[in-house]
Amino acid sequence: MNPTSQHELIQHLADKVKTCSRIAVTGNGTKPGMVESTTGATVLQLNDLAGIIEYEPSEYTITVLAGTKLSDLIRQLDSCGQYLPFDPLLVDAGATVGGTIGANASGPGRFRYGGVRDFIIGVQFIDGRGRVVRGGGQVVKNAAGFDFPKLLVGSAGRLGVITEVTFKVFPNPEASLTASTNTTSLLEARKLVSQLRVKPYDLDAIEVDPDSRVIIRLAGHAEALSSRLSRIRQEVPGFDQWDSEQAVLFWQKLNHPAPDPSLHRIRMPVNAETLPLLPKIPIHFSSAMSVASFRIPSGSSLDLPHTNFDGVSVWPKSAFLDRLKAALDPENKFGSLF
Amino acid sequence: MTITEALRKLLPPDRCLVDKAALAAYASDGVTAFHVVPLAVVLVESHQEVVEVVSLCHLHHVPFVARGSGTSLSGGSVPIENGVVIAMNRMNRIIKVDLEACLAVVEPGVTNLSVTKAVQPFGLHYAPDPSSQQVCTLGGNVAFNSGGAHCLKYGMTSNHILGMKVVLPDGTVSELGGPFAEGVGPDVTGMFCGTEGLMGIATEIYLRLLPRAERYHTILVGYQTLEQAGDAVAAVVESGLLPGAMEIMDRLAMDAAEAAVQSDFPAGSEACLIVELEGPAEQVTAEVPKLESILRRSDSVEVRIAKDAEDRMRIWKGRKSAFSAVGRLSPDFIVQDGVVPRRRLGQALRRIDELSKACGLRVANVFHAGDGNLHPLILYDGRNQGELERAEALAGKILLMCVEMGGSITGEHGVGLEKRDYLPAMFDSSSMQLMRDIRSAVDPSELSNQGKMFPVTGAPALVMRGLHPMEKTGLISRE
Repeated sequence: MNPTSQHELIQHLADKVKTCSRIAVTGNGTKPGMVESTTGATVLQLNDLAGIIEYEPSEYTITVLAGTKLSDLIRQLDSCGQYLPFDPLLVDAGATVGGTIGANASGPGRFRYGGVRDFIIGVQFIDGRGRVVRGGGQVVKNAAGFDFPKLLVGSAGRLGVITEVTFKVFPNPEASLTASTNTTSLLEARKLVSQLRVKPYDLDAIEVDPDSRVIIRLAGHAEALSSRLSRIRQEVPGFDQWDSEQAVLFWQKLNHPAPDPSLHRIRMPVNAETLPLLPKIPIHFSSAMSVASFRIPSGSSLDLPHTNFDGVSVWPKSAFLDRLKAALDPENKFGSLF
Repeated sequence: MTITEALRKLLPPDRCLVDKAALAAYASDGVTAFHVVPLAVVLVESHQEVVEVVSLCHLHHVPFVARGSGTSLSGGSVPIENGVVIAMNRMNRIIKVDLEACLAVVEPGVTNLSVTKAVQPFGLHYAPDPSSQQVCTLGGNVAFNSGGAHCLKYGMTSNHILGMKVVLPDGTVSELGGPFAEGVGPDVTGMFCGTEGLMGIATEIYLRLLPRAERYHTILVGYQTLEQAGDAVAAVVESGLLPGAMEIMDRLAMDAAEAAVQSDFPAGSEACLIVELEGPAEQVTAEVPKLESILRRSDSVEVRIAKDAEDRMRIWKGRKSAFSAVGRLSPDFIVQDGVVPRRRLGQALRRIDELSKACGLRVANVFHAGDGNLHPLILYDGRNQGELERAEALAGKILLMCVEMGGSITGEHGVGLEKRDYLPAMFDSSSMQLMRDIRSAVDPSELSNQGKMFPVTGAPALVMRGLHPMEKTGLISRE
């Protein structure tokens, strides 16, 4: 997209926000539950607002328009040996940059260096008064002004229309290796995970599947991987190395929870206190058992704070957030907070 | 009843200071040139007391600032005229360490390094490491989103804060995030970090803990020019390695550090580069030859590898003492904190050199090269008429240069009082207005840390006061 038409498109979107009373923002619709309701709302389709604005591999930064498909972004990064360490979800399904930020959708790789919030360093967005504004910047270290890039992570379009994003990126690990071990119960899996995560193994991912199987991924220098695994085995026996084909399929499937009309895809941060409160259904635990992913029948509900990719999420209440919302969207154009 | 009377009713006399002599100790922070004596200082001991003090300030319409150890390098904790200082140091409990979830719950008066000390026996550490980490507090780290030498790989303070309990400027309590690795809904925790006290006071903070690296490999390299050192950084980055830290010092900074701690910086070099790999032993072993071959190809004068942990500590001590050491070279100095895109480091340093010569003041350079965070130290003598003003003008030119190059006016010190006039150079009027709108929505009377971050007319007068007492003892430094 050339700069003139990009500027015009953003200005057009800002005018829509100024003149319409209800705005709903969508990308490729891979997480339809993020949009409150399109009834009576002016729908801003952001797919056309796509393209890479600036990519400086030597800076570890990339700036893209919000409607850019992750797959396009990742292809570009990959051609220069770099990647998004938060390991985004639903890439092949067509997820866009804006939707990924709005849904705070990180994958298993978030365990090593952090989630979406840790890699978004700059943002341009349209606030509820129709102003085109910026926060953060294009350099990896920056403490100036309010951190709007982080605020918009998980905001599901309720605070503003994201138009442009700058990410921090990292060099791609040369190779990776996957291994797993079976445990007999969730409690046993938990013990193993706690044991592993405090060790200096520099694990790239630790997952626990619904059968209490503990799966780990190592990433880095190719020649060091198998000796790194051998040492883990010395301390924690039982880990079997997977062949690479099996590993690729497993991680790919995990990052692409396909939609199902009768079920809602739920993502819920958990800890030792909230684990017992989870529904008694098959649950996959991500990032050292800190995030639970599961599906519930559409129409059923959950009280604990969670993100629902297909329906109504439950957000924690916060007086601070209410005041931010009042400043960012005083007329409630972007819909109420979950 | 006046605010002072109300506060004295709330707290015992030894925790509510109104005596001029006692108040004087709180008049400045790390930027000693700012000096404002507050109306009162209260030493709070609990969340509930913070709520009550803030509510009283709100009721009496009196501005307030929370203060930890007062190490701010942007004047962020300088008192407000006729305002109250809420001293947080007594709220210094580590409430909980949760090894299973790898997190700690702390009060805001806990010092940065004491967290790492508390969790070290379990193989963990708290990653952000500002140079004043021995004394600076987590509350201040959160407010100013502090950095350190490891930000490229690990991020800044906000990347390690999972949640907080905060007291908003009218005394309302709000929970942000919590003991979870990830939040749900807008990242209000991330938003609160770095708001420089304008949004209220954190009274409980959830920190992410990480395993300590198993092995470090630290290399000190000497170069004939700063530019060659900068090129070496670019070559390391290009190779796909991700070092934990990359730092550069120029000759002036090395000389100062050398006089202070004898770190054996490479003789006959005009710049030195410190690169540190870290990770599992096997990984570091595999990366070392790659790094060394890059560095040997980089026109270096000398490549020195830390022999052991002690040798590594000596290198780092030299680096971290550079700033207080520069204090020996000059009666006064200003340190700047601008950021430029890494590829423009060479250009930025040349420009700083030109600006330095043009205004006749020496500038020493120490910087976090891995993330483009410059710390030019402008040396001057406040006793000479007009020199402070010239130093300030030079500092301003350097900041604007950083913005022009696509960088930032602050990498880790925050805007505070010192750089508030420069924030509009980075953000257009709509963005500035939105920030002000948010400030008004959260704190309509603008009582919480009034006068910081946004430009206002009428700044406290700059008075020369030399080095901070803690700086003289080497406990804190301006980097």
